[in-house]
Amino acid sequence: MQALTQAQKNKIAPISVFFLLYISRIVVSLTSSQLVTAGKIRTQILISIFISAFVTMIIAIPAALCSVKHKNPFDIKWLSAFYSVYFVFLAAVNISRFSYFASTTLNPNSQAWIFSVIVTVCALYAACLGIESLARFSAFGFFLLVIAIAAAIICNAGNFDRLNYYPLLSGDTENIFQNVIYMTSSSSESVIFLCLSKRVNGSGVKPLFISIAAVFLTIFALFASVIGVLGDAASVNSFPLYTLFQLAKIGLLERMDVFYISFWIFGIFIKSVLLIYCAGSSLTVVKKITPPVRYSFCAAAALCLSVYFTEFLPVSNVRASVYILPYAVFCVAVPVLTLIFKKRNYGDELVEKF
Amino acid sequence: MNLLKSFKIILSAVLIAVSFSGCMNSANLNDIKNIMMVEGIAIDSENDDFSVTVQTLNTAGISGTELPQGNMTVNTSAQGKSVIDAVSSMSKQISKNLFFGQNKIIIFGDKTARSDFYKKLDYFLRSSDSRPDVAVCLSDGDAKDIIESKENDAHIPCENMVYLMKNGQDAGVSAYVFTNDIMNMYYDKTSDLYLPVLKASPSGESVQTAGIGIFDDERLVYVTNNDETMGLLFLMGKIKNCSIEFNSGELGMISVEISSLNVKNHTEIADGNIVFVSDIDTQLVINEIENGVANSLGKEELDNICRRADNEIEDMCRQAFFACRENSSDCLRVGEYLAKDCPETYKEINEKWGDYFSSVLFQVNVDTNLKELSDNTQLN
Repeated sequence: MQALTQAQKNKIAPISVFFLLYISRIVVSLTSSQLVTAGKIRTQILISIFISAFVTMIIAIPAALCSVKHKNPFDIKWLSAFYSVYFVFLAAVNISRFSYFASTTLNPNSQAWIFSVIVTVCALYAACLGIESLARFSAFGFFLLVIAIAAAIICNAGNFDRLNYYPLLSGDTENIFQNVIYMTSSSSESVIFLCLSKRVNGSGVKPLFISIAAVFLTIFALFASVIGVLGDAASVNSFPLYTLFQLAKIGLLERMDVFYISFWIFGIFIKSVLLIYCAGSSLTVVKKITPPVRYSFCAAAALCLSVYFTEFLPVSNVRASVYILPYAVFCVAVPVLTLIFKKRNYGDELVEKF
Repeated sequence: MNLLKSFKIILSAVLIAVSFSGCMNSANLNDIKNIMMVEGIAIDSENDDFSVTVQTLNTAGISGTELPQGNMTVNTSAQGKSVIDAVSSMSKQISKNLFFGQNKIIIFGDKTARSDFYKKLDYFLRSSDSRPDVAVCLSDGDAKDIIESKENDAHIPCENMVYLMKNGQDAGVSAYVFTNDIMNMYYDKTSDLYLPVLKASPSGESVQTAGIGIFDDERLVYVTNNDETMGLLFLMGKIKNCSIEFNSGELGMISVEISSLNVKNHTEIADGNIVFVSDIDTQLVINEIENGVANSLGKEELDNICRRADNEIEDMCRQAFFACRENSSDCLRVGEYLAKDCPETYKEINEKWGDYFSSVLFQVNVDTNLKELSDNTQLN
């Protein structure tokens, strides 16, 4: 609690960075569907998760060093504007995935764009409240998400069958590496961390790496349950994690999918706010515009793009591969090049010292 | 307090108040009025003609807070050239939307399950509001006869049938299989499906369990008898508490209760043959002895009873395994055990598992331990 109240004006505590980054990444996995995995959801996906955790950690090292050595790519205004576009793109993809789920699984009679509008408007309002409010809410969201995930895993113990893990390595092993690429490219938290690093009251490096470790551990546990409970049926479910929650029951407590839906909405909300906030605050190239206007502009762009994804683009085209190139550029190449070529920002260092 | 803050407080209060609403007294709401909540579905087919019967809640009879007496469901039937066609024509007849989100059971007629079973099930697996935990079973005749059973004037007969299967599985007389299990077994390369079978009483007042139907690929090939059903459930480790009876010579008929089942299955290769080995540990309570009193039995006699119980269970398991093997139905998931224990062999033969399954050998070792003589006598 002390850690949470250590925040200064417009600054957040390091533990809040952990909450935000954890939620931001776990939401991608909760949205996991056949569209973001290669091949069947079988035991080999657990190997992919394990490898992906290591790869993500390694890829996060340049971003962490950028922060420690005060060589933040967000200090370069034109580059920061490109990051803003990237965040808008990420927000649009996340909102569209939720809208797709809500309009196909939750309420098939509704239109996807309605969900996009609702999520975006709420996210815009919250982004205008600032990073401190979001950080406080993320602590609440984190605990609820963890409780929901733990409940789903525990309440499925009766449905668990270890025979479902066999044969251990079925199908093509190339799917393992394809899934590593998909999962790693869905982890854009290192650049979110870079964007937030100046607003952290202390060092955010430790929370970054702990969040990566914790989130991949959670994803591992979730997918291990999905395979152990659903078996081969996991591969034919549009949203296997949702099905896992649907099957969870303990005593009189059943129909736990409502937890999944409500906490996922929490997660999507937090992630959308975070991305719109990051997009707006990265748009420093345009001067004399107040933050709310910048956030509104970014939210509108994210909404348009998400509506385009859900209404005009065939669902099968919005695959995980759309993540890969932007990820390679913004999360891998740019931080590495910045680390090598950019001069230290001594201004930041002075601010930090005094 | 400024205006914006007041507005936020009022808005929050309204949102919270709205979330407190329920639908207990809202039977006349348009949503409920316009949907038929499906509680169970029965599917029969003859050649290419399908008949679908749905059991829906009679919402007109449940307005107000009082729980209605007796049956509160309505059965409606429709025909078509496929399941989808029959469901569509039913919607035309009743001018309401069918809502499958509350569906508890899908019953297939015996003839329907004899060919292309998955094609007929596909509609329910893909339906957007169908849940993965809907129970699926077979009828020993027409499925319609089962769904139309009054279940001794139960509120929702279909719900009773689900309990019948659930409790039946615990007691070793039926199985409880839901749609996710079916998909798991269907998409597995080597496993075959099994489903509980229900039978309507001649008066139509109730239904009872009638064994387990085992499948070879996409068709029902055999329905197990009582011993095979219990043997199958022993091998699957599904039984929680069951009673068996056997003749023990001088002591006459002995009734024992089996509980605390612990089953460990594995496969091994012996002399070039695949052997499916099942080790079963259970606890036993002596309920009744025809010619004697349980408390007066000596250690040797008690051991003898345990041995007899072992033999009985082993015999049931053998019958079950051979019934599966003779009908080429790997509903015991022997292929998956092979993948676990002998992955190299599995890799070589999984494409032609059907051919190899017919030559799998079986070994069962049962070890029952005496827990109590009767409900009042604890063993030291």
